[in-house]
Amino acid sequence: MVEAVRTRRGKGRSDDGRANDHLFDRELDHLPPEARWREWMNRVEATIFAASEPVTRETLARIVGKSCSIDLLIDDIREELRGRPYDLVSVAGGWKHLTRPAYADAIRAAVGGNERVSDLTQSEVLVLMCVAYFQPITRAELSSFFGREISRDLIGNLRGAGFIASGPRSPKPGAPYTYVTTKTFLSHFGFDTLRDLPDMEKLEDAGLLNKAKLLADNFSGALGAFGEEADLEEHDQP
Amino acid sequence: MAMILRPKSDRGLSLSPLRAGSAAPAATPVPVWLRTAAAPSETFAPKGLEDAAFLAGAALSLLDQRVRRQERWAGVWRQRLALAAAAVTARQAGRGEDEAALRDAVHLTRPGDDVGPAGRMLLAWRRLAARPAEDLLTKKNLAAVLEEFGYAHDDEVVSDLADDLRQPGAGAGTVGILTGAFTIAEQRGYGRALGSWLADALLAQRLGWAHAMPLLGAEAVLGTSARPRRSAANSVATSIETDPERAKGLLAAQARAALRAIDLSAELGRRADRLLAVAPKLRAKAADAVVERLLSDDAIVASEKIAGMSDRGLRRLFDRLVDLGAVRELSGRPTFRVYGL
Repeated sequence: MVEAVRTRRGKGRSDDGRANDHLFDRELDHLPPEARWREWMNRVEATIFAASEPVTRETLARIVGKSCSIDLLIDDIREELRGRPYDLVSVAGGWKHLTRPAYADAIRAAVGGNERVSDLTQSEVLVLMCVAYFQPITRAELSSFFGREISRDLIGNLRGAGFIASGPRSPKPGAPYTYVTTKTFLSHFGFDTLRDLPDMEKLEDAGLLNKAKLLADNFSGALGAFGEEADLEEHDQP
Repeated sequence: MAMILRPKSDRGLSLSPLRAGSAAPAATPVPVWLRTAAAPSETFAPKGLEDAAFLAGAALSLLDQRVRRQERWAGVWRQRLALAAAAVTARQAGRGEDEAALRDAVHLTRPGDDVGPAGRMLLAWRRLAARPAEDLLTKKNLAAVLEEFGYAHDDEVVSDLADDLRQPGAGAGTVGILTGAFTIAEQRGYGRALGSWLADALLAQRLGWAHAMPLLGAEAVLGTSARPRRSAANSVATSIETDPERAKGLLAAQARAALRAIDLSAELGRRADRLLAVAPKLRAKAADAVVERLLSDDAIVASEKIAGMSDRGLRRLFDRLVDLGAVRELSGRPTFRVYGL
């Protein structure tokens, strides 16, 4: 059923969507206010449930009345989800159903290697976090950071997963590409912006958020921040 | 990235060694009393809000005079101010990039690649300097600027922001607009980089300038906190409008920024004169286009694609311009050179 809904959404996205606006009753004027609100909540939750990507406010605005506050709707939905093992979370500029971190272990035990995030090895995750904090950064810089060669394959995997992309070319012999994180990275790890990276402010205050400085002296302080997020997992669709 | 926007009247001008402005009387020099009073020192700091407003008014009127001349090099002038503002924004965000690194980020990124978080901060300020002032506060530009400053995309916040920014224009005075811009930014938990950006845009609209001048972004001391801590984001919301100390700090910063922009205009005016003086001697095809770019943007990389000019031709032209003392190599590197006025 979810599949059916998704196909319809996909088709109706462009001009069709506009045309359908006339047929689709957004306002629900015939319903008493409470029933109308309930229906809007259901529509919004269903849409977010059915989507594979975070759903933006703009998208949600198409299925509820003009006067409807999407923030209040979301608040009400979240209130109802309070006791559930999943929640509606604001991620990469939209909303998405995510399981609560407390159930990460259970999910991992149940589905184990099938999820995408576990495709990343420990060292890939470390390199990815390093790129996130110190972007734009080249492979050579990453290598000197970790004190060992960071392979092209590792970079290729992260790039293949859509977590990093090419940044400005570094003005060094060979003009190596630097790497930067993508929106996919933010959405997959549940960050809204780069400012949400764990301990970003602590690192700033300690003056550690500086690639040159970090490459010059040791970086144990910075790496300490990565371990804490080990339980940060993400699962599509409850 | 089409970052070169000039008033249309400039486009048709042929290259001539005569500066457009040389027929006009020289701009009024900055009087010593203003320079002394606006200097960021303890003894001469403005005594109160009125004093600060007086200084800001005096400095802005001198700046206004220079902006209105619409010199051919106004583009590079604004873009250099944008670069200075971006460097301060990056530093306040805890980043290590200086002006040179920011310039590299934007100029060494291939089309379609990502300039990275610091590069985006420069793009935000370049947007302020390049887009016509009247278009700056449209939803489209506001959404882009928020993203460039590293904030999450949120359509509703963008609409609110656009609405709020339309309102102070109606009734508020110039000082009210200045502090209002920061209040509007802070109410939503955005840092002062955005407040400065908005204040610069509103000032340009208020004074009827064709393009905004990046002024406040480069001022390290504004009398406001660098970035509201997430927890404190809401508590500062109401304080600024009622707090004359903060308004005073902003006005003093505006006075300093205006004088800094004036000094930069004097320097760039001299350099531009020099470039325009040697321009007729340049034999290379498309040399006109290169000169035009140098006058309208912060820098050009030697690998830039200029229509009608080969890579080698461009390199030779830059070598000659450097020999003639008309442009400088800005990066100090033997490779990946970056040239500018």
